[in-house]
Amino acid sequence: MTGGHRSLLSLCGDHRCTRRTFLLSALLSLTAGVFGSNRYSLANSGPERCVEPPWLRKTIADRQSAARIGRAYLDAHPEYRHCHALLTDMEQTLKRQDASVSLTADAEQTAGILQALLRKEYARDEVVSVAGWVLSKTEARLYALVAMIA
Amino acid sequence: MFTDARTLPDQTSLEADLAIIGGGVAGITLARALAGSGISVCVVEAGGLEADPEVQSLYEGENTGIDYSPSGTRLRLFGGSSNHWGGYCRPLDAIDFEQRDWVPFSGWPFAIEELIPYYEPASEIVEVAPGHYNDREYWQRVSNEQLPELAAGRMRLQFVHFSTPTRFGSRYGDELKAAANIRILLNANVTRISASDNAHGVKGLAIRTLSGLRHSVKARYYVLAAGGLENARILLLSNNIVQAGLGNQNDLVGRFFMEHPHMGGFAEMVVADLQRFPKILRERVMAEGRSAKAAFNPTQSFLREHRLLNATFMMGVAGKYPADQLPDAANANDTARRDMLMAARRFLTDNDDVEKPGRPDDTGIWLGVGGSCEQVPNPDSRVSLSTQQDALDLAKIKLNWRLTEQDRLSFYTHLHSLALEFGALGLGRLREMVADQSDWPQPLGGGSHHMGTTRMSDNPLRGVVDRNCKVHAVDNLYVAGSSVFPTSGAANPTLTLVALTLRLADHLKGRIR
Repeated sequence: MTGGHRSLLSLCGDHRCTRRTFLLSALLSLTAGVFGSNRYSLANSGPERCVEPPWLRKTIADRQSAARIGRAYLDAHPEYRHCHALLTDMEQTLKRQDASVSLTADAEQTAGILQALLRKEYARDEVVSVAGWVLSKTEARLYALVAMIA
Repeated sequence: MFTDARTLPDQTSLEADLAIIGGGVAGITLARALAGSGISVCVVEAGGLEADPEVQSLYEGENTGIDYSPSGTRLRLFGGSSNHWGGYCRPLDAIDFEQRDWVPFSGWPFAIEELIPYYEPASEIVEVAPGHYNDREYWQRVSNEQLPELAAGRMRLQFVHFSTPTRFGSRYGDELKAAANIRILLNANVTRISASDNAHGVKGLAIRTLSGLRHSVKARYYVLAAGGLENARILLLSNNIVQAGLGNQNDLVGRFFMEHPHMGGFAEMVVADLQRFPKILRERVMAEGRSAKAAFNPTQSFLREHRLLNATFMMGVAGKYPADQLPDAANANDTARRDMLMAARRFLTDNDDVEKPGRPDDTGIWLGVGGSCEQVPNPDSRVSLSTQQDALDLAKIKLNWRLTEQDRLSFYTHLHSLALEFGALGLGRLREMVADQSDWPQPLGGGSHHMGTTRMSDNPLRGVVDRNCKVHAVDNLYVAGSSVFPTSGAANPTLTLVALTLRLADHLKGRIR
């Protein structure tokens, strides 16, 4: 099951759905399909609240630790304070690395693909500094995602 | 034979074929190479067989540049600074000898191939032979561990060999004492190299003892081997004919002083899985009676592509985090390291499933990172004479060690490379501890490596000595030691200065006979 198969309208639930929210939700839904999740969505109002993709738990075991690093990243990069922005960015990064990469709902496989992506990013100097740590961009965004979910 | 200059009658004049000023690493190496050659040698050593504070105080000087101790970074006794040597041995890299258009004043008069025949005998002298400085297969075999293939193309592994360390005075003193053609004159301070009237030759050495005696040594040939600071000072003090100092007609003596800037506390690394992290990367490994440790050095292609200076990094375990140990919440660094280890565990261990229990006995380790780097040859970084005088009424040295922005930027680029290589391998994560990279990491110090003050060049306008280490325009005066290095590379200098001295010995054997 993937989020991409869901009715886009259902993403708005019983609440009023603006055009912007609808489009964001649609994008998230598609992204969720790529990452094998159908369980995250925009909150209906107020700050965005994320629902955890299943592969994330396979990838990041210690959520408190990751969240602390992720918050430091978000402090420096407020533009990523949106789940969809983070996930979209990760997806696009993956596709840039290898257009044939097919992320499935298999969490273990997804975690492996991410691990390979991180190594490539280090090798290519696609990194950011987070509280002094030199981290691959995707790695930093993974921790940011955890911070938003935690 | 050992002779204490204080026991000779005043105004004693000694003669030899070759006089060597300085009984340190270079002087002893040269004397040994000539033992039994039929060439009479007199080694003129300023110190005695034991350290003496009064003698050592003659090395004090004025410092006007980066904080640096002229007396604390060298030793004035037989065996010289080998008496506090750390024992790090590695040859220079081929690129260090090249003229690099991004490194002003770079380029040795010859390529590394000229020194290669001398590196193995030099390795024997410092007791680390056979040298396997770049032989990863050898170290994999003897350590029985697979070494990582660095993936980012920025750095490579080389292998620093550790001498015991060889204390040249005690190690080779008896051998020299037994050599019929060698006299070691102790407690004999050379106060002047007396030039001939046309300054194209040396007539003799003026010597004083702290007890007030004055002697002289006359020889056919002379080798100045008193260390990178004192070589310049003695030439500058030898101004009886050339007012600027012997060999200093082009104002080069003392200029281009280079050190290897050494830093610590600028970065740390965390590693979660020791099985991925071979022992030789973090500690010394013993093999065939000697020890070695891996150093991370930039690849020559990366240096060329990014127009950088050379550098070297080594790591050592600073702490461990047992899995059952609670974090110290009051220690921000402790928390940061544990957070990184735990967050990145999936990427740093071979435990594919992070939901399964990890190894019960460790969360990971953290390592201190030490680094040193090459500095650009800089004419404003220099040794000159102070207005202050020592106990022999001789001008002390005035040291002005300077670094440039190019040096600093190059160092930080390499530090970044280290982070990338570890990330690309899934070995670890690096944290830069310097908030403001517009300045050097503090504390900034040197490695007690005194280089460049009598640099080598075939062009007298660019160097004090020629490719044979002979002082330009002075027919019978040579210089031995790291003061002749035109560039420093990033390797510790002792092995190379021994190799250069062996090469000089071959040259002198041919010339003196």
